Amino acid sequence: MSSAVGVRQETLVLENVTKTFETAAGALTILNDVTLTFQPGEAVAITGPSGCGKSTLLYTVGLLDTPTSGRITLFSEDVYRLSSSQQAKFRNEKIGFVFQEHHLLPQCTVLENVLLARLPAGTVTSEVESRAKALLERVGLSSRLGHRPAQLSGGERQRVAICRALLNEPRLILADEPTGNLDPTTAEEIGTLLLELQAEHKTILLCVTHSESLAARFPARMTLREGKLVRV
Amino acid sequence: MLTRNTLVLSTLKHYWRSNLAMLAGIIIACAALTGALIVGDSIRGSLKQMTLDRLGRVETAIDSPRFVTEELAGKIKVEKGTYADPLTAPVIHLSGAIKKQTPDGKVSRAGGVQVYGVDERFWKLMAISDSTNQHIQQENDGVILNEVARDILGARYLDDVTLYVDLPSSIPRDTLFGERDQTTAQIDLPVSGVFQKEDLRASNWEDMKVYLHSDYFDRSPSVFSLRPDQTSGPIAYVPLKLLQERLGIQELPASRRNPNPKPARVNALYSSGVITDVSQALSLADLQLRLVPNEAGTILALESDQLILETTIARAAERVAAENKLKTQPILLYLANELANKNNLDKFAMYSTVAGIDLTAGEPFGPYVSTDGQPVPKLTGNEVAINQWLAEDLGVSIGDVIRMKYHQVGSTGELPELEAEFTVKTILKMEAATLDRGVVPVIEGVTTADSFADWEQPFPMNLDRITSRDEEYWDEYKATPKLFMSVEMAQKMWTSKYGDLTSIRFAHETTPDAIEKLERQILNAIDLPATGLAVQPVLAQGLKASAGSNDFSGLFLGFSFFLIGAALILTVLLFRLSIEERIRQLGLYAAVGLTTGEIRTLLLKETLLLSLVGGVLGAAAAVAYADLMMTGLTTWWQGAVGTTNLHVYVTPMALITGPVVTLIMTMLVVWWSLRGIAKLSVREQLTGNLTPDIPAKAAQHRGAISFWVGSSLLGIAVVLLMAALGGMLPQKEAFSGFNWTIVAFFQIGLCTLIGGILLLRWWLVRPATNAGAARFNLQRLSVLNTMRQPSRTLTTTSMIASATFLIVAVGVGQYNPLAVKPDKTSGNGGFSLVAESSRPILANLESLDLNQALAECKASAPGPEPAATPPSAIEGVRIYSFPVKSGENASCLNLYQTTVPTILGVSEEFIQRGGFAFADTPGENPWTRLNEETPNGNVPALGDMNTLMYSLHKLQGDTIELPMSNVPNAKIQIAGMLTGSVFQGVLLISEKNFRRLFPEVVGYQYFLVETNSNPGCVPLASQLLETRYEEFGLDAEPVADRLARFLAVQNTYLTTFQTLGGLGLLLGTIGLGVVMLRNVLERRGEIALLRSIGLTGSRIGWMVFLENSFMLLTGIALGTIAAQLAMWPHLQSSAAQVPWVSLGGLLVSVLLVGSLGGLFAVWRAMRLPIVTTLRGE
Repeated sequence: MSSAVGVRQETLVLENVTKTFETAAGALTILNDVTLTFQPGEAVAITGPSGCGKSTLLYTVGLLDTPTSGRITLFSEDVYRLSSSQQAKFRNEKIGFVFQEHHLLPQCTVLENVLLARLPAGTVTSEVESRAKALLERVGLSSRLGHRPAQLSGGERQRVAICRALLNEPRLILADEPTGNLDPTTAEEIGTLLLELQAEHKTILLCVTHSESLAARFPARMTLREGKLVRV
Repeated sequence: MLTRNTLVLSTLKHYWRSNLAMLAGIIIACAALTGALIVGDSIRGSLKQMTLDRLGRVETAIDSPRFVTEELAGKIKVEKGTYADPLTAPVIHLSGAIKKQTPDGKVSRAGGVQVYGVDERFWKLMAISDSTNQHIQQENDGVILNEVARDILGARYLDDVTLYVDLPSSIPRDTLFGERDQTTAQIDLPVSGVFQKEDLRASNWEDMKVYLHSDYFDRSPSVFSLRPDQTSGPIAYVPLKLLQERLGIQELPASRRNPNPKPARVNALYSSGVITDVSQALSLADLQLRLVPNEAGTILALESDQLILETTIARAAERVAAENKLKTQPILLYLANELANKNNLDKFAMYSTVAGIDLTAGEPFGPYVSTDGQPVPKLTGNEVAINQWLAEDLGVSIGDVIRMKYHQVGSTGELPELEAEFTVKTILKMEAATLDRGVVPVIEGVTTADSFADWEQPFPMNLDRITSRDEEYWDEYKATPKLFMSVEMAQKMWTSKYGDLTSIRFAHETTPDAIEKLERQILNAIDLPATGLAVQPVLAQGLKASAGSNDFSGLFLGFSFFLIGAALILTVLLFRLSIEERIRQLGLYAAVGLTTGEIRTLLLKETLLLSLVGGVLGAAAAVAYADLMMTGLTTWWQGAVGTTNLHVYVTPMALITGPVVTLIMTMLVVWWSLRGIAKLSVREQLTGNLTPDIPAKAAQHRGAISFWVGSSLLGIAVVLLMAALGGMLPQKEAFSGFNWTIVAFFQIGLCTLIGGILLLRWWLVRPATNAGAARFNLQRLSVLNTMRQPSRTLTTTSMIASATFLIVAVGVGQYNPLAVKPDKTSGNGGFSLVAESSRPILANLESLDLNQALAECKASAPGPEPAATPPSAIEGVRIYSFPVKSGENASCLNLYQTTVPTILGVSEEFIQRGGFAFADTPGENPWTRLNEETPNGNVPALGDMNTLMYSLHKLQGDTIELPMSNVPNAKIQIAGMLTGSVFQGVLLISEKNFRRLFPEVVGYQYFLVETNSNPGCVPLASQLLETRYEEFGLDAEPVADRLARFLAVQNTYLTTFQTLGGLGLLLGTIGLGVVMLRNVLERRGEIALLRSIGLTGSRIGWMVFLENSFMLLTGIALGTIAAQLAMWPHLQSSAAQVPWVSLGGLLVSVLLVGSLGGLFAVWRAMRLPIVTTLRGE
């Protein structure tokens, strides 16, 4: 992690990123001139009080929200200069999301929910299917491939969501309170799993969390205060 | 394996409940839309079937007032058309009346009866059953009625009835020698059978026991008519030979008393083939013409049984002469009542023939020799030549003046005696051409009489003044003319509407071959349609007219508009509900990299599959829906179609078009609704936040605009209301028959509706204010909840308000003409009675002395009524008569497409009287437009707006061709529109133009009666007219009754719209329930919270119920108030016929269904688990 502007090809670069919301009381700045660079293999926990803009930062980096100003360069691509369909393709190929809520499709099986990440790219090849099964085996769900989300526990659902995030071998994983809905034991398991998989795939992992125990397990930690991202 | 398609399928399966509800919406929309198309097809199909039923196997027909020889049926060339083995039947077709009198004196009458004289050839065309045929052959001495005639008369088998029909007259009744007194054939016959449309033997055995021996269950003869009309009138079939005998047109073989044989005659030929080349089969006898040779064998005279050569025939004969360079001598003869010496009036001659003739025509017509040996000069002006006999009788010589008295034939056949004076130019010797009797056509009973005393003339003669010299002349020279004038002078005095010559003499050989050759040339030159012998392709015309006067598909699409719209809106609301329930999924799709377009495609694919299934099921439901509509049209709404003979016809086109259009519409509205979802950011979708953040200032700005525009509109409504109530609005027509007051009040209603909706919008989006602790309760919370989603609340409320407005406004618009008193400026024009006769009445009833009629009636039928009625009861009654050129019924009561409507002639007295309500027709008295001349020579006409716009599809300035006119290329041009008048179904032109266009029409058949205010006057005048003119089948009815029949169609359509619109509104209120459900589901956390802090389920339910009721009641109240304001002038009129019960019932139903929808939402709210929901939040 560095605040330098000089970047390598595999980095995530935020330059003077600002995000402002219009409210009845006036403009509210959530991100204030954030400038940062993340290197491949970095795993960073982002903490901060509620409403400080942690999730906004994550969604802005993940091309799900637009910065009011500034530039974000992901792997040498100025992503907000891409068209919406290019952004969607980029998101599919380069970014994996893990949310507080698992967002599994109740109508699909466990395996299908993982394969969902491949849907934008077109047909699912046997190679992709094998990778999905391998991921599910990796997270201990090889026996639940044909189950529906309703038949899984909260932790199991989140594992499926992690597999879905990793299926396309993204270079960036964005996790928004991935253990927020889980009991402490399961939360620890999920945290461990997330970090292990990040290390295995050498991706950048940005994880927004309120959980001190989860944040403590990350090699790097930052906090968002008054719109500024500060290293803890 | 997961693909986009398997994802779509699994999603459809997983959310099957909401998809099933959506499917129901699509099915309803598809059923209503496809059903409307099927209704249109069914009406067209039914009309087509009715056409085939109505015509039997008749494909072409000649149906004319002109009587041709019966043998023409066998000679006429017929080609095979639709039916095999074409056959032509000779028929007598007359319009008449039937009376039935019971032994106890009770009389029943049927006017407008179509009387057919038929034989076995006609029955073959009707394809009657063998048993019927056998019956008819056995009972061939009576009249067979159809069930309509039977029901009117209450007649049964073997009852005696009297038929009144026109006695055929070879000479037109409104000419000098036309028969005026003996115009009616009165034929007494027993009823020998009844034709019925349906075989009721199985279902109505009790009736059948009575009619067993006489009822024929054959559809075609029970409804036979050449005219396209779905309603059948009374029909009477009489054996052809019997009718010919009673009318005196039967075959008469040559005998000693009657050396000239006469063929049997008919006036109609109906064929199951295509009649071609009529002129080749015709003979001059068919046209009541003859070529008469002179004794010298040098002249052929073309004469007519009508005495006058019709103009079209005379011109054809002149063309033949010109083409063959034949010398001709046209002649116009007339009868002078008296010729007298002006200087000595005691010297006179009675009843002398005078001739308009060219005395200088030369051989072989001359020579005419004068007594002074000088050449006979060409006569001009009032110069005349007289024969020596007359000169001696009157004691006149060259240069003396002769006074002539003669009858002038008036427009209604009256015969005023006029005088004219002529100067004697020359006196002709009583020899050679002067004595040529060949110039005088034979007039049975006149020229053939032995003496004046034997004349069978149709006008009064003063036999006392006939001198012995007159008798001597008759004995010696018969009708040989005594006085000659130029043809031009004679034509100036005596040209009638029928023609201007009595004969044309040709210098021509008289051998049979020569006669035949000239006959053929003349026949080929005659314009047959102008003589009434046009071949009508009745089957093709009927099938073409089956397209209908209106597009019933479009009409029922309009009626079903609310239903279709409500079903689509419901579908979209359910779709949105389903989407919003899984909005997080859509966010996930975006998060994993699906583009907005790809996500939309996935959702549209889901909708497409639902639409396909909905289309198939909807098409099946459409058949049931159409069946229900057709049942409605033949039962509850029969007033709109006037027939029960409608059946469902399902066409593949409707079954394909309906579902395809539904599919397209569903896809479009779903695609449109997705725009709202697309506005949400992925993050909002992932967090389930369905309310896009709108900057507060923008919302306030929009609210302010709504406030000012809404307030302005309400201000306009108040100003207009004050102006209307203060009498400040102009009391004249604004447009299309609506006056300014009506227009202003409609504007008031619209302004109230739109202004109210805009103010509601302002109220919903205005900044929240703190009401204070004292006012914060559950009710306020309910009201505040409606402001959570202002656009949703506004859309729902304004839709209910708009639908209520339309349905209430249309519902209260029903009109009852029975409550309207005679008013000169209204649709009744100030008239109380309208009467029509089956046959023309020669006299204009404007001059009818009703007091005299009353006296006659008292004398002939003493009794309590009308004998006890004083003459003062009918004082002031005025009758206006209209000649009628019969055409198709173009009123809204006829479903068929009409092209040539019935035309009435309007007298100058009526034009000057004025009256009636007009639309878009300026002028103090728009009737005077009938006297105006159009630049292109078209005849100006007036017509009722409904007839013009919906039956004939014509507007002001449009023209209509008149193929039935004798004037080539005659057209009428619409010069004005009446509105809501008794003249629906007809067009009106001035009587002057009428007589020119339709010279063959004699007398009057349509009458309007102005009565006095005496309450007994209307029934008395009606009874007097019907009694006095019973043989003409005159049938009088109150104008209000007729207007009520016309308005029954309009009122029925309004009821249909109200019913189907009401169904749509009910469906829409189910949509309101869905909206409430969405509101509840969105607020599940809030509701769980309220429960967690101790609010009971019933109180939360009450809160949701109030919220629902707020939208429902606001919408209904706003729509109802605005509609009542819009229709206020109508509601104030005595003719308003508001269906308060059905309207009130509908609104209460809407309230109930809407509340039930709200209760469902409450129930769902109560089922939400508190803890899970709270944790989820």
